[in-house]
Amino acid sequence: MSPSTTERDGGPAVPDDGAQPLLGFGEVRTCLIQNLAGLSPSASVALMQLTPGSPVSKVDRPTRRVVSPEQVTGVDCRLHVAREGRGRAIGTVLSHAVVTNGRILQGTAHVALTSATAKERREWRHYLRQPGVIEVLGSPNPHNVMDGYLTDVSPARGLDLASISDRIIGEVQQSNRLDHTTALRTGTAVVRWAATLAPQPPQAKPTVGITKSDVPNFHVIRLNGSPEDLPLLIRFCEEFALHEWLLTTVQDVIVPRAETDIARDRDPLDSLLFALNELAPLWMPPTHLGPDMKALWEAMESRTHYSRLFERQTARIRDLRDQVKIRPPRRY
Amino acid sequence: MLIFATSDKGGTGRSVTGCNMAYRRALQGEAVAYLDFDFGSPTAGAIFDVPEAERGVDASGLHSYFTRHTESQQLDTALHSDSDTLRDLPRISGAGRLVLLPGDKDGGEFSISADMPARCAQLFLRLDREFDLCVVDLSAGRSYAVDLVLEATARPELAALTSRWLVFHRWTKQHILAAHGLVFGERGLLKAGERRGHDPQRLNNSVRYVRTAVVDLCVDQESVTRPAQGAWLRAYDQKLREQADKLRMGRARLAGQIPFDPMLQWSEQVIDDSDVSGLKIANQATVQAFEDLAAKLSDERFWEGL
Amino acid sequence: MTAVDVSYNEMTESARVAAVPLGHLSVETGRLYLEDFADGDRKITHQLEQVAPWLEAATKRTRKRFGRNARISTCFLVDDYSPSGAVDDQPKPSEVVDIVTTAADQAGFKIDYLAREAGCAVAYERPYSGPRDQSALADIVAGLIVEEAAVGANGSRPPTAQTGWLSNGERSPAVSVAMDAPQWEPPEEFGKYRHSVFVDIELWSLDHYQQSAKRQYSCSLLSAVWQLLRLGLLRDAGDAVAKPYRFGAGEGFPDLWQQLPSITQLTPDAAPFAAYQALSVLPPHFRAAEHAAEIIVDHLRFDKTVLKQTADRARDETNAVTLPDNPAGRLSHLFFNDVHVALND
Repeated sequence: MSPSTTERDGGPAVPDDGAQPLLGFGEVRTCLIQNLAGLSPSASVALMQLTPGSPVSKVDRPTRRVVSPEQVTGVDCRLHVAREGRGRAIGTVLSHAVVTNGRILQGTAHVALTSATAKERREWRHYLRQPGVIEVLGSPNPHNVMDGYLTDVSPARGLDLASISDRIIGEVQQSNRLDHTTALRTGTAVVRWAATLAPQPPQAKPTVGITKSDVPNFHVIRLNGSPEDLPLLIRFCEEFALHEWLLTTVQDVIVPRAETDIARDRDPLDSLLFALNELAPLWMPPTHLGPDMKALWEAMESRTHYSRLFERQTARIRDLRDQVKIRPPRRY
Repeated sequence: MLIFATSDKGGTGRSVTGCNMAYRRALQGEAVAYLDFDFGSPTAGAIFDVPEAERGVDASGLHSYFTRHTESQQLDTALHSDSDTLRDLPRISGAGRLVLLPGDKDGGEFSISADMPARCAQLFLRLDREFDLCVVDLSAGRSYAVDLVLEATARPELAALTSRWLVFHRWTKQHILAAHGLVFGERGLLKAGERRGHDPQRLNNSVRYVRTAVVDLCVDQESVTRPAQGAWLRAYDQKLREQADKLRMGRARLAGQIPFDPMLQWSEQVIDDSDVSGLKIANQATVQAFEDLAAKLSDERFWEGL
Repeated sequence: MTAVDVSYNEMTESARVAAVPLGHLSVETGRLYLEDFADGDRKITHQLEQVAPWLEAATKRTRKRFGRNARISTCFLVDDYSPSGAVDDQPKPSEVVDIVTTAADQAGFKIDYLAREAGCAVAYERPYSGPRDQSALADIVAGLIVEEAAVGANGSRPPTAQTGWLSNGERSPAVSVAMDAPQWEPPEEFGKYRHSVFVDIELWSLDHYQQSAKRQYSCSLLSAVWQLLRLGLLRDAGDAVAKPYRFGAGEGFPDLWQQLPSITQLTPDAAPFAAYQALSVLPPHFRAAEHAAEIIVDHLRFDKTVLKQTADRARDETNAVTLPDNPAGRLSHLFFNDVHVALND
C-alpha cells in the first residue's frame, strides 16, 4: 500500500531494533456524540485536542473526519493465549478518538506485537521509543496469541484494549465542550480485530474475514497483510465499524421505533429526520483511499451487501416519513 | 432520565417497587436500565429472577466497576431472567428493553476514592446515551453510594440530565419521621448535597415520596372486620396525613402509594396483569399503583417547582 | 479508453517540525526567587562567585572536545511562578537585569540568557505577550508523560498520572486504617538493583474547593520543562517555543516583571540558548527537585522528528557529536555550596 492512505504518522512504528511486527490487534468503539447539535469543524478539532501541543488531523471530504493525537498507555501483562501456556507482553498501546461529521465518535486502541528484544523487561525508555509496539516474551505461537486475544472476555484476562478504547470514549463524552444532551438513544458498537502480519509478495492484497458475535453490537474481524499495511488495516476497521454502526442504528433502532410510534399514535418524525439528515449522508465507503482499501472494502461488500441493506433501510425511512406526513399521528 | 430510589430503612419494598416501576416503563416502549447500587446486599437480581445475579454477580458488577475498574455487565432481562413476564417482554409490540446492571456478590460498602465521582458520572452519561430511563437503586439509609451519586450529579457534565429522587417509606409515624430525617436531617440528603455543590432548594424540588405497604381501607374490607377497628384506622390514617403535610411530605410530593400486597411481602418479583387476572395471586390495585408511579416519573407538571 | 490513474492523498497535517538553534553546552549558573532580588545583589553575587571556577572548567572541557569554536551559553533562572508579594512590590525587570549583569561582571563572566520559571509553565514569546503567542508548556509536558507499566498492568485501569502523581515504581497498596494493615507491602522501584529508591513525584496540585480549579504545577515539573527547553526538545504543534527575545537598542524593558518574555537574551553575541548538553551548577537543596525532573524526562514520549532532527544536527557538526538516545543523558548537574569560613575578629 502507499503511505498516502494514512492521515497521520501515528500508526505503530516499526521498532527500533528492526524486529517486524507479527500481529496487530485493535478495538474500535462507535457511538453518537452526546451533544444536541452536530459539532462545527472548529468544535470538533477542539474536542479532539486530547494532548496539548500535538496536532489534530482533519480531512473535510468526502465526510469531515477529525482525529485526535495518539494517546500512549503502558502495559506489562499476561497474554491470553489459546491452546497453549502463556506469554508476557510489555510495551505501549496507542489510542485515538475520531469525530465524523461532528456527530459520530469512535475510540480506537491498537498495538503491534513483535518478538521481545531481550529475555527480561528492559528500561522503560526503551518501550517509550517505540510507541504502539508491544514485545512478547516467551515466544508463543502467533496464531494462538491471536485467537486468545479475539476470544478474551470481560473483564479481560490478557491485554485489555477494550478498556482503553472505552476510556477514550468516556473521556471525550465527559468533555466540557459538549452539552451532554443525547440527540438519539443508541448503543455503542464494538469491533475487535486482529491481523497477522508477514512480508507479502508484491502483488498480494490484504485479506479480511468478519464474524458477527452472539453478543449484540459486537463484531470480530480477522485480517491479513504485510507489516506496512497496519495503518491501512486500522483505518479499514474504523470505517467498517462506522458503517456497521450506521446500519445497525437505522435498522434496529430507528425503523422499529418509528413503526411502534406510528402504531401507538406517537410522532416518529424527529428520529426519522435525524436518520435522513444526519446519518444517511455519512454512508461513504472509503474506497477513495487507494486500491488496497478499495479491494478490501469491495471484498467485504460482496459478502455482506451492507450498502444495499443500508439503501433499503433509508428507503424504508423515507416511506415512513411520507406516511407520517400524509396522515399525521393523532398526538402530533 | 435518572431516578434515584432510596429509603430510610430496609424492608420498605423500595427494590421490588423500583423493579416493577422499571418494568412498566419498558412496557411503555422505553429502554430502561436498572442499576443495583445497593453495594452491601444486591437484591435486584433476585427480584428480576436472574439466577446468575441472584445475590450479585461473580465479576464485573457495579462494585467492581468502581473498585477494580472493570466494565459493568449489562444483563438483558429478556435473555437472562427465569421470569416468564420478563422473558416475554420483547414479544410485546413496541416494548423497550429492560437491562440489569447487577451488583457484585460479596461486594460490601467501599469508601469513595478521588476518581469515583467522575467514573460514576461517566457511567450515567454512557447509560443516558443508550437508555431513556435509568433507575438507580440505592441502599437504605445513609451510605457511600448516596454520597457518590450526589457528588457525581453535582458535576457539570451531568447538568443536562434530568435527575429525580424517590424516597420510599412505610406508612407509619416512625417511618415518616425517619424518611424526613433522611432528606432534611443534619446528615440528610439536602445537607450532604449542598456540601457537594447542589443547590438545596433545587435538590429538594427533585425529591418525591413513595408510601409503601399502605393498608387501603376501601380494598381490604376483609381484613377490617369490626366497625370500631375501621373507625380507628381511618382516624389514624388522617393523623399520619397531617403529620406528613407538616413535614413537607404531603400529597403534592407524593409520587405513589403502593398498597399492602401479601404476595409481594412473601415473594419480591415483577408482576404483570396475568398475575392479577389469570392466576389472581396479586391485587389489581398493586399493578395499578406501579403503573401510576411509572407514569408520574415523566409527568412534568408533577415535578415542577413547588 | 484508457484507465486514468488517480491517486488520492488524505495527508492534512504535514509533519512540519521547526528546528531550533543548538549550541554545544548550556550552563545554568543559578536559580533564585524573584523576591531575593528585592534584597539587592547579596545572594546572586555569592552564587555567581561560586559558579565561576566550574563554568571555566566546563568551558575548557567543551572546547577541548569540540574545538575552539564550540558554542557555549550561560543562563540564569528566576523563580517567579508563585510570587508571595503583591505585583507592585516586585522588582522591575530593569532592576533585576542590572543586578544580574553587574554580579556576573564581578564574577568574571557573562550571563547570556535570563529566564522566568513562570515562563516555563506558559511560554511568553515577547514582552506583553497576549494569549495568542503563549504556549502552555507545562500542560504540554504533562500530556507527554507515559507512566511506566506495573507488572500486571493490562490497560484496565487508568494511568494514575491523571491524578497528578508520577512514581518510578510500584506504590505500597493504599491502607486507610492502620489497624487494617497487618499485610503491609513496601513500595518497589521498577528495575531496581537489589534495593529500591522509590520516588513519588507530585506533578501538580488542584484547589479542590474551586470547581474550575487550575493546576498549580510543582517545581519538579517546571524544572523538567526548563531542562527540555535547554535541550531544545519542546514544540507546540511543531512550532518552536519560548524563543529567546532580544530587546532592541531603543526598546526599554517593560515596567512589570510578568510582562517580560520567558527567556530574555542579555548579550548580543550569545551562543544559542539550547544545546546538546545542559549543565546546571546549583546549591544542593535543588537536588531533590532536579532528580524528580530527570525522572519526569525519562517518562516522556518525545516527538520522533524532533529527536531525529537534533541527532542529525549533532552528527553534522564539524566535530561530530553523538548524542545518547535518552534525552536525560544530556543533562548534567553539579551541586555545590561553600561551607562557611568562620572569621575570627
